[in-house]
Amino acid sequence: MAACLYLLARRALVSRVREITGPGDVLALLLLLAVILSGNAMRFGPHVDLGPVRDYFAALLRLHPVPWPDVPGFAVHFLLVQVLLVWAPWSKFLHAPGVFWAKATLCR
Amino acid sequence: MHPRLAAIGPETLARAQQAVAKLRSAPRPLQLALDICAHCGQCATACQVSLSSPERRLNPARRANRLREVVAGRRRLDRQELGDWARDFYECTGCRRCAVFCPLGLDNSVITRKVRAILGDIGLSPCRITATQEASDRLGNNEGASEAAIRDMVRFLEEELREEHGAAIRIPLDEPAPVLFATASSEIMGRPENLMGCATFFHAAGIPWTMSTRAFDAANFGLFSGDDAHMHRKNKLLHEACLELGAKRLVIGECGHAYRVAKYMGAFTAKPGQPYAVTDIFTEAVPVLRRGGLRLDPGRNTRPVTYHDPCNFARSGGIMDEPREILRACVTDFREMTPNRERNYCCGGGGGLAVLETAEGVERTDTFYEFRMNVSGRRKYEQIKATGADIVVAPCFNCLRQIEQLMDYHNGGAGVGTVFELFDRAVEL
Repeated sequence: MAACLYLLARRALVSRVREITGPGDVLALLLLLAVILSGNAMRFGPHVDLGPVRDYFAALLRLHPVPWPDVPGFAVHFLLVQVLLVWAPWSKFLHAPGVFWAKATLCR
Repeated sequence: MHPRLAAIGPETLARAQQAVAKLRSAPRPLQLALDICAHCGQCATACQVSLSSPERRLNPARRANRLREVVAGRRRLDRQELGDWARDFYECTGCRRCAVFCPLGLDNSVITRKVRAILGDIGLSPCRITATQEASDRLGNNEGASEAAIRDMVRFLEEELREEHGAAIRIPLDEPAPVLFATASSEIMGRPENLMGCATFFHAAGIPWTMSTRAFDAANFGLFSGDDAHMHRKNKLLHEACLELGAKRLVIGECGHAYRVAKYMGAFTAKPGQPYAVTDIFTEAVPVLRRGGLRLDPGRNTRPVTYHDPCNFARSGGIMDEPREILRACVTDFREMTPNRERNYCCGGGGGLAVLETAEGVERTDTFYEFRMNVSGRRKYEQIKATGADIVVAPCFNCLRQIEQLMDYHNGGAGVGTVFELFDRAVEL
């Protein structure tokens, strides 16, 4: 969370970085921050019973799915993670593996 | 709008747009540079141009973004945009310092060179660069020197060498030899002391060598203008001279970009499997120095000397320790600049900028000369002053010209020179 806040502050405050910041750069950080915040809300906020969630995934892995349990705190967190994963291929999260490609072509 | 821009008709504009569309099938390093920039801003803190001015357009990632937006179709390529490109992409010195610091290893100079190629194709290269290429295509060297002028010059230098050293030091022309030596012609005509030093080295080391009147000039402005056709055409002259004279080694003199083109980029000399190897004068001299084949008296060069790593020799060529080793043997007071080697700041005249003086028909409030003195070269000037050196040595004629002008402009007081000029003073025959 601290890292996300630092990176957001850097995007907003360092002029050389602000000049090249696009919507995608901010969205990536905000989405990560939202995932972390919703996760921390479950950990430090009002108690959320994760038992039904564990049962749900256990059933899913045994290929005998059961209906989605009604745990709103977790649902928000899980939805945000899914949005992140869906968006990842079009975002710069994919640049992490790209590092190796770029360095390899540079050294060749 | 400048007449050159206003003269661009719809057909020419369409040609530029097609060239941009073709970038989608460009070589991989260029595609990656276009695709995967994460806008982290590391390049802006590495680039000496960007560090010296808060001007937004000097941010390397922002400059590259202009091309990205056109490629992605988010920005229209019109005459105004081309005019901005002609200004912005000649404010990048193509020094590749950003590539050293980029976490993704992206090289903005690849983008710069490509955009310059698109500009050159529709006649928007700076006049000095176009004129130099034309002279080079006509006579084989950037200075536009005729064969008679070259022979005259060489005879004159041989006489000078005889006076200086009392020995018959030759500068052979078009003689079959295992070593073909080629350097920048501007160096030979404008700063002949360097060629004299190289001739003295070959003489002292007992290496049979030759120069070619047809491939007299290894400098290659195709690297700066992005004009690959010109680059390869000129590179072919060196290749043919090597074959004709039976050279086993093509030795490039103190000219960084000539070395980079000959070693890595030229379609002929950089092609694997040629009957000759491409090397440089420092790599040639170091083994001779190490086995004690050269008698040097550093006491003849006592003024403090610092060494400037030209981008093309150091970052792009890996030639960093060899020139230092020779220089240290020739001088008593050698001082390093910081940062140095592959992290060295560009002189501010790289990528052909050193020959640009006027505003070159683009929209700007200063001239390119003022830009080089106040913005792109400022870091270099401060860096040199911090060493307290009297002589700045740089094996590159763009760097030397730029640093000499920087010293004049800011009343810096230090002179410039090349490694083999100091060698020529220190050597005992």
